[in-house]
Amino acid sequence: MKNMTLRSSLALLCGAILSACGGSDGSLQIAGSITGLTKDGLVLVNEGNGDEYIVPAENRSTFTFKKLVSVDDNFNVKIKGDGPAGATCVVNAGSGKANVYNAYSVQVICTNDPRKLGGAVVNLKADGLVMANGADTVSVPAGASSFVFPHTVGDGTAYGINILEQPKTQRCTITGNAVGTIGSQDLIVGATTSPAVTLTCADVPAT
Amino acid sequence: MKFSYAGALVALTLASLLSACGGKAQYTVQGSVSGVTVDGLQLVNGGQTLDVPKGASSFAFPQQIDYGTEYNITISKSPEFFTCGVSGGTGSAGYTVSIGAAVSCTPNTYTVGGTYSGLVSVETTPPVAPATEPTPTPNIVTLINGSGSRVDISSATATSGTFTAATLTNGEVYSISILTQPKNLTCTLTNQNGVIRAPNSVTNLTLTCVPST
Repeated sequence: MKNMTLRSSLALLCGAILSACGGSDGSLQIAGSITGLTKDGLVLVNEGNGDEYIVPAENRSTFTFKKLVSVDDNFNVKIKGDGPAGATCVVNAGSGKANVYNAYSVQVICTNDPRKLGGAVVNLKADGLVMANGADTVSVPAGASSFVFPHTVGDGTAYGINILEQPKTQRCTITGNAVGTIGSQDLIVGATTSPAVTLTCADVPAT
Repeated sequence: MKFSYAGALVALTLASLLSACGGKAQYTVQGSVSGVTVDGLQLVNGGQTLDVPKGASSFAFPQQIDYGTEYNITISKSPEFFTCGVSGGTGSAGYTVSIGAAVSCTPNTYTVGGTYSGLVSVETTPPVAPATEPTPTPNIVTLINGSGSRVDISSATATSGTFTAATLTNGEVYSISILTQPKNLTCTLTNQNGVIRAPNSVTNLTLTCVPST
């Protein structure tokens, strides 16, 4: 009888110890860095245990999943759904069997989707016109009816279009949205798009 | 007599062979190069100079050095408007399997800016005890260099003063715009377009703010 009690209490103890070590009650937290994120709507999911992390606006550069994982637990960090609207995010070094070397070094890299920026041109009869969006410039030749900057602008990014050089014998003026923030559409002349600005050029009277 | 001639010949041959391979090991003073987008980089080591052309990713001094010889690779000339540095440029030949210094160059930067005026606060924030006077609310104008840099100028700093709108390298175009106007004021910008001509920074922009009509 005495023996029985001892045995059963031993069994209980064993069970308690086993439950303490087993399961996902580990000591590692899957974590890492986020770069290039400027938008809301990024949710990370660890498909290894179903844990989700909603990236808040206050911290878009690092993340740490809440649930603890044990050494050798499988983890697999993915972007939930489509990710933020207007941006594309990818995960590097996001999966494996967890250990102290890989659990904290998951990288999430986001890039805002590229949009084209440009304008319509009216009555440009001379060469020499150069348009600028900051350091990005484009030469617009005589006869052109539109222009597009060589570099794209990320969705949600500000732009400011100026005339860097006027054409040799004309003066052009800008109308439209010379300054603004690009959204989900290209701002160029096209069948389904509208340009950011219209440049109207007039001959300069001979002096 | 004949026999000793042959012996001498063998000895001589052996001696010359020995001197060829028995001398100290030779090391090339070399390394990697990054950021050299223009000509003009010149390295020096122990009185030897080496011109490194634009686009180079590595360099090697033509004259090798003996095992145990100290080397000290330094920049004798950086390309114009660039600043270059060397890491791992000193040591003793043979201390590592091969010499591998790293030279990296970055373009110097120049600021684009000017003066602003008339940036006054047009609103006040109610006092929070123990203060009894309302405080002026900062009024902010935001400048951008296209889709590049962005800077806020605040009335909280001063109603007039100097600002920097962009930091660029030689030859880069700048084209500054007002992204957002301050409250109840209209600001205008002059000299906002141009090209960086090193070694000069640009300081001639003027941002003038007046009450909106």
